[in-house]
Amino acid sequence: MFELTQKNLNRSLAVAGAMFWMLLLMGYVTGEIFFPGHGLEGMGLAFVAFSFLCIMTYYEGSTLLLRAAGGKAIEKKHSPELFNVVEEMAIAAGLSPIPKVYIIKSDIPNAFATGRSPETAAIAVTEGLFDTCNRDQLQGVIAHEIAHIKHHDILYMTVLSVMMASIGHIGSIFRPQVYRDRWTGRRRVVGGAPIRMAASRLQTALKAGGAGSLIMVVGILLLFVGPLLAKILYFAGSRTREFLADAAAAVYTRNPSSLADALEEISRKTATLHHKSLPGIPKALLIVGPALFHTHPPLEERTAILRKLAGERPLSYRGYADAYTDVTGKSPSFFPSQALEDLTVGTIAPAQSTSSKQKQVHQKKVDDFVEENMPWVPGYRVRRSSDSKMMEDTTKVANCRCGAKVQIPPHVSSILDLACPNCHQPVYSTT
Amino acid sequence: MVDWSIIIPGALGALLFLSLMASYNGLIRIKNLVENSWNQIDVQLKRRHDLIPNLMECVKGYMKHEDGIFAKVAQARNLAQNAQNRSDKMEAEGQLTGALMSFISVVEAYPELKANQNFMVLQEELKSTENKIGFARQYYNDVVMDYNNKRESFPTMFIASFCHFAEEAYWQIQAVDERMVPKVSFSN
Repeated sequence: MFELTQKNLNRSLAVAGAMFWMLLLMGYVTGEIFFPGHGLEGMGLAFVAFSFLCIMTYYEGSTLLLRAAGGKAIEKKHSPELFNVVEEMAIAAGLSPIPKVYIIKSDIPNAFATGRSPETAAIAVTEGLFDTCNRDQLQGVIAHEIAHIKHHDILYMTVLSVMMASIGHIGSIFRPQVYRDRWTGRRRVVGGAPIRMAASRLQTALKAGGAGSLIMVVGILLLFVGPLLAKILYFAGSRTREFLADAAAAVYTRNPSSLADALEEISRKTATLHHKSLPGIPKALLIVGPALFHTHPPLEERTAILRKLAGERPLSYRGYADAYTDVTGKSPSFFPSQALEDLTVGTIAPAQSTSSKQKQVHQKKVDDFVEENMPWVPGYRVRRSSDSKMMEDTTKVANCRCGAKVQIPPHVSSILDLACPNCHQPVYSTT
Repeated sequence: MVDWSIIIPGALGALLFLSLMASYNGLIRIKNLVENSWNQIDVQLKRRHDLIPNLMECVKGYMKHEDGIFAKVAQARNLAQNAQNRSDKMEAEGQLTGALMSFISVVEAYPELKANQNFMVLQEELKSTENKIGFARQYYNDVVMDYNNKRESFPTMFIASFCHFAEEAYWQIQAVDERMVPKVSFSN
């Protein structure tokens, strides 16, 4: 259980390295475009600016981030419950010292962890999360954030997001801004000149041929696709980390359902809100990310894995990895082999969970609220209760890739025979 | 002229020494982790001991005819405080947990307590302390398991037996009612 971070390191370094070279190349090309013959200076400038940002991030990143989000450090007397939950989870993870706790004034239910090391880590929670989740669910969310701290994800994701932002900034020089003029109402395009310069430079490079101009061509193309590419790289790295943090949260709380409940609750609440994400916070740091670009794995996948894990004893990383394979059909190659050998984590201590009665009462409250205040969700309660019945039932349910849940008829022996009624593809995996 | 008959055994000896050293250090590291995680439990147990008198004081005014349960909790607390070695402590703390749980079930019959601000604070504290004890114990058991695994596996077992690394005991759950889901909620 102690080596969970090791395996991801190589992959992480590769991603960071790729982004770093991309940044340098883009700096070089930008220099060449504006001041022909001065590409190296451009590269140097990109490097210096990036280093400066990195150093800033390393020492001040979490402070800036928390300030951008409007986070306020709280003490125990302000919110004993939240404080206690953080303390509990830090104890469960064997993390010391206990991270600082911040509250963000926002209705959007979300949370993130930041800091450069476990010693300087902080956990920020929005008021919306606090209102949405009960104590157990809060515990699940905090356990997930504690896992990010314990796995050293916070530093890596912060540095990577700075790199992504730098690449985005260079890219934005070559992106025209279209806006509507406030007085005349006409559409105006600003910033076409850099694109024209880049295009003419591309033409000369194509004409010249040779290795040097090949670099130019690749670099100029990167100016346009680089920001997107960086995002994809960034998100690929962050998704596996989410799974690992979920696995750790399940092991810390010994109660995978608490995080699954929380995730569902959060997404349900978020769907009712106008603004869906916290401004100014890198998405990969949040507990639930927006659908666009998927910093996070699909919520359904995460909850399905956790739900599958819920009845299992002992509760181990191995169990999570198996559930992951069952749900996604992929091999959990990002899981450190050492953690997987540990079959016995969680055999001894009991799990703490809310009684099922408490859960029902809570569910009823949610259902009532939705029915009263959200008339645009027809048949909500029926769908919701049949969903949860499917979850609890021992009848087999398959989760299709498209997000539909397909109940498997008892006479079907292999799910390969089933086509999803929603997307008409073969049903992907069972839960 | 190189004398291989000295160098090869010498190199093998050095290698052996290094690997022995590494496994010894590994054992020491995890043994210290066991100690440290035990201390973490201890801290929380002490918190609970300090919390109980305050809680009793707070509810006494409301619960006039429940002397039996007060005495039971106080006695269990005394026993737990005076426990000397680790296994006694585990036993006594288990009983204190049981006593506290029956105390809580009695408290639930006094709804007027919920209006008491002071009581609500103490209630959250007790709930959290119980949780912390549970999680600290969980972590302790995980670490002990790692330690015992290491102690018994090849080749570390030779070093472990030579240097007298004793097996560490898990904190098992003793009382039957403690094994049930700890229900430390005052609200319904």
